[in-house]
Amino acid sequence: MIFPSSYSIRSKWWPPTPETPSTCLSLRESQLLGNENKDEDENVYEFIIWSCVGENFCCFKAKTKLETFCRNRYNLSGICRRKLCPLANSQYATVLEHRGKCLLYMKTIERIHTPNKMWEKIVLPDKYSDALKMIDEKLQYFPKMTINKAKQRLTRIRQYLMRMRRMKLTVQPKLVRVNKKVERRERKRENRALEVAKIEKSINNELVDRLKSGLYDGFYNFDQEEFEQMLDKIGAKYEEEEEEKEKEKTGGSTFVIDEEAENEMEAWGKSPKIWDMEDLVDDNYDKKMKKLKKRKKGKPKFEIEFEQEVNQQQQREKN
Amino acid sequence: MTTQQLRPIVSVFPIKGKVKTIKQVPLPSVFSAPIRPDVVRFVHTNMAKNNRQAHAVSTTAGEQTSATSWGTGRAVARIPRVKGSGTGRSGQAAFGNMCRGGRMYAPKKVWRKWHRKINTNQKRYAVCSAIAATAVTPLVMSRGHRVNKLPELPLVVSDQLQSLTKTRQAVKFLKFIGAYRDVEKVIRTKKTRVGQGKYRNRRHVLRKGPMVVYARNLGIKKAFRNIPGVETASVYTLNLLKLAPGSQMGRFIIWTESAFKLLEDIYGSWEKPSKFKSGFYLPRPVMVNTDVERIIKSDQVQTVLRNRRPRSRKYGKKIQRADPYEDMSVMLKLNPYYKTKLQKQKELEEKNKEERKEIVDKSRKEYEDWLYFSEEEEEEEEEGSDEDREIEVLSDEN
Repeated sequence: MIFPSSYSIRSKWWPPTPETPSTCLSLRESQLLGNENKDEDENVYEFIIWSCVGENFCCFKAKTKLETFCRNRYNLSGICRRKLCPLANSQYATVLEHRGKCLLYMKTIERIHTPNKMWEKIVLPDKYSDALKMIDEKLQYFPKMTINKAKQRLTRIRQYLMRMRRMKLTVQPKLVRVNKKVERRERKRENRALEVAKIEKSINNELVDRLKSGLYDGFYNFDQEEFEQMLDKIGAKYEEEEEEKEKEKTGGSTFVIDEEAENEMEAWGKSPKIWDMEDLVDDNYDKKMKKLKKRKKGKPKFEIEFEQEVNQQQQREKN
Repeated sequence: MTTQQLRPIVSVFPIKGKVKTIKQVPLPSVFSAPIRPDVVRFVHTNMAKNNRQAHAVSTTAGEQTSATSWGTGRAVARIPRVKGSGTGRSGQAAFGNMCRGGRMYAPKKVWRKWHRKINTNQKRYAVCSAIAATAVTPLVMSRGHRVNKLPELPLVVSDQLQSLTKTRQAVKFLKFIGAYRDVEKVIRTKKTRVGQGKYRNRRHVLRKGPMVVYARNLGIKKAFRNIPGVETASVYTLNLLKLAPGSQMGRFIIWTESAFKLLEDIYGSWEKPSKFKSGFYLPRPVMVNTDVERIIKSDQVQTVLRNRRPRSRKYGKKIQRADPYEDMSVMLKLNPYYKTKLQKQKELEEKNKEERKEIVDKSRKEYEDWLYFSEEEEEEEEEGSDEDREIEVLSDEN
């Protein structure tokens, strides 16, 4: 006499077909139960496992206040329940995703004792309708709940895969942590560094140095009134000088200084002391700049000429 | 006999080379013993008490005072108080478990019953159950062992394993057979103990890894000694505390071939008694077929039962009925005339609408007429007053 136990299932012939009637039940009863294809011993096996696992400790069980979850990879819906437990069901199927491909995993009682080969993996076709058909085909003799759950799971997986693909096309903002401590520290350090740098002071010093070196010979920003006053003063001086020169040149024919001649004189270096901005742009300027290791400055945009003085001079000479 | 003929077969694997069956061995009867988590729990909880050491609180703790109660009339609680004066301790309460510095409630005594006797048969029952459970893959998985990559459960390996001497060889074997994942789990989850045990020479906590059961120790014990989580045991002395740690059945066990075969002799079967445990036969299940639901619903039982009595509505289940006003099909089932009724209603409405429209139009027209008429009246009045007319009349006369 065989005493039924966990192991005696191994000895029975498998797989069952719908034609083979179960010994204990009438066909209608078994259909109602949904256990048409299950043998006695299989039920016992499942019962034993569920009494050990479902009610007592199971390493995959995750209990919360409202719900008990199953962390087993092969669970169809992630909830710890008798009909959904991949351990307590001798016949089980799931849909899992691997690298974008949906796979149908099937487990039957014959393979339970070879954990290596327990799960039969079938790649589901890419087309949704074909995949559903395949599930129907492969899980023909599985309980209806399994088929429905497998299809639902497939749908969910496909949905999230679509979402993933769509997301990859967009640029996702990268969320970076704001470390309060670090931020606070860095801000303080920045402020301190600013203070210590004393930018204004250093700029000031630099400018003064340049002034002292003579870079800005004549580069002064004066009030216009003041500037003209200065010009007047300087103009008077110039007239005096010119008179003296004339006195020296006695008995000679007086020559009218043309503009061209003036220019030539300037070119020769005998430039009259005119407050001409152009003069200030001399070669020495560049050298001075290089000394100070600063950038070259371009020519100033405006020039001031003492045309009045020249005219006066010309007039006098004419006279 | 029939049992032996029908007993399934288990493959034996080598310790190196390729993971292929070298041999096939019949499954010992122990693995068909009934799996009884209740028995295992009972035996385990009691067995676990047997390695305890006596401990107690000092007999004089909290009693080393000559405190007496002050009695009533002093506006203080009647608890014994310490005699004397000149110190903070004087007048303080003593002796009670509620007092500071008092003795505890029911001070622990050394003569507490630390160990438990368990019936030998019960112990053996539990061990048989536990061994049977080690062959059930779901139970081993639920205990937390990583057994996905194993070629077979129960895992039987050639006797060469017993002569391994080096730990390196042992680790190599575990990796070869697919059992190293469990060891890795143990290494990964090594932690410092929570609580005071950490400075009482119990610093680290480890998970349980695979257990290697051998028949003869030719070096295997030392080879596996230093691998974290791995335990070795002789077949002759299998300990329930190791087979079902925490009274949770389904330890991952690696058997050597000779150890596996010996199980038949050590635990016997239902027909043959054990060779090592005198008079011991394998435990029989209380019920042969435990599928009660199925038995009740079977033809053999149902034919003998009397007919079901009509259920009383009072205490019956509430039947969820579909709302006919929500679902037309349900309504039509109950009242087929409803459809025509609706149609008739519609027709009536439409007819009424037309009539109503006529009435409304008529009344509107009347209203409008009244409006216009009143305006004309007003205009006529504005044109001229009676006085003017009179004047004109007068003028004409003149």
